[in-house]
Amino acid sequence: MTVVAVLSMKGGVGKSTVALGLASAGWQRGLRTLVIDLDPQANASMALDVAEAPFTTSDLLADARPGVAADAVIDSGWGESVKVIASERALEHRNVGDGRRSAQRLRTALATLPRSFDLVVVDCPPSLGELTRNALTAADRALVVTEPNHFAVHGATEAVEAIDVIAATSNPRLRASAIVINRMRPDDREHRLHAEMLATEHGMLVYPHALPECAGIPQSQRAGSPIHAWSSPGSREVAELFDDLLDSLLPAPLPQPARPTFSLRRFLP
Amino acid sequence: MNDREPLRKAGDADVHPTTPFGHGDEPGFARRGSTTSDAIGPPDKDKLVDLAVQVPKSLRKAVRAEAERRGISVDEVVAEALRDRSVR
Repeated sequence: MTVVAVLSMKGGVGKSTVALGLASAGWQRGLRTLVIDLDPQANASMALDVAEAPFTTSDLLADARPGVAADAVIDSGWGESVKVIASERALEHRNVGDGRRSAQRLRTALATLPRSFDLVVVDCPPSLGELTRNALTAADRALVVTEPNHFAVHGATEAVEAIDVIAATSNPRLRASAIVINRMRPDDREHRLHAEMLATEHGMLVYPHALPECAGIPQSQRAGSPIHAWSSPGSREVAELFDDLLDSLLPAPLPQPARPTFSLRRFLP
Repeated sequence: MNDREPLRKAGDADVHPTTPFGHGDEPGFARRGSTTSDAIGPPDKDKLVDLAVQVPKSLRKAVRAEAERRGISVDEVVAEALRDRSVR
């Protein structure tokens, strides 16, 4: 079980795209995957082809009793293995602090639910407000998404600092896993410059494979389809990048004990 | 055995996040229906049209007073009241 929060301070950089890409990679492998849409824009809920959501992240954060999130889990349109806790506009009401334990509402509401899944992806809103604090308090890993431009790079640095603060104050399990550069055009000088700036500032934290611009991404999202099931030029390449990204997030499989070799030879004269 | 009460819809599920603070308690903002899909379904794109009706003068006075008290237009008060009577 891995709980990954996908965040950025700046909007429109591709948080939901990365969250959905990870869910798609999980879908492709048959992993039991849960997407928690913590963005009041509910874009991930739309792309996951949710028919109707009786309860949403807004409701479970308003309630916040231990384990109550289980009541809000619904099927996605992607198939049996991918479930959703959908969002709605009213989630914006929860983006304010509400007492000392306010940032722990999601973790409390989830309780042991993540153990029922191999992968839990939390799609954060484009801010470092209370919803993002809740996501980071409930997560094991945090992925920062950015574009290679001035404002987005600044936002990425702010997001990494936010992860450090939460890890130091309320969630020692939390680790910044990577900064993912989205919509990279390698032939664009500005893009190269900002990718280099990120590498200088954050070193190994910058994920080595940037996501390219790809028409298949918005097309698949509009169609409510996993990118792994979308057959347009470039989609396969992007899907493989999400596979690699998921590999970097999941715990490495335990090494298999060396199989004892049995040979009759040692008993022979 | 899990004996906790099930999850319930938040009381402000139908209140737009930009609604000025304090209006969530107004009767007109009580939630409608049992499920929420306002952010998942298409946005409400109803065109605004005129509706001329005759009402008692006292009622018009009351509506105006209500609109003034809440800092919204008379149109909004009337539309809200009609919605609450399940006209839509």
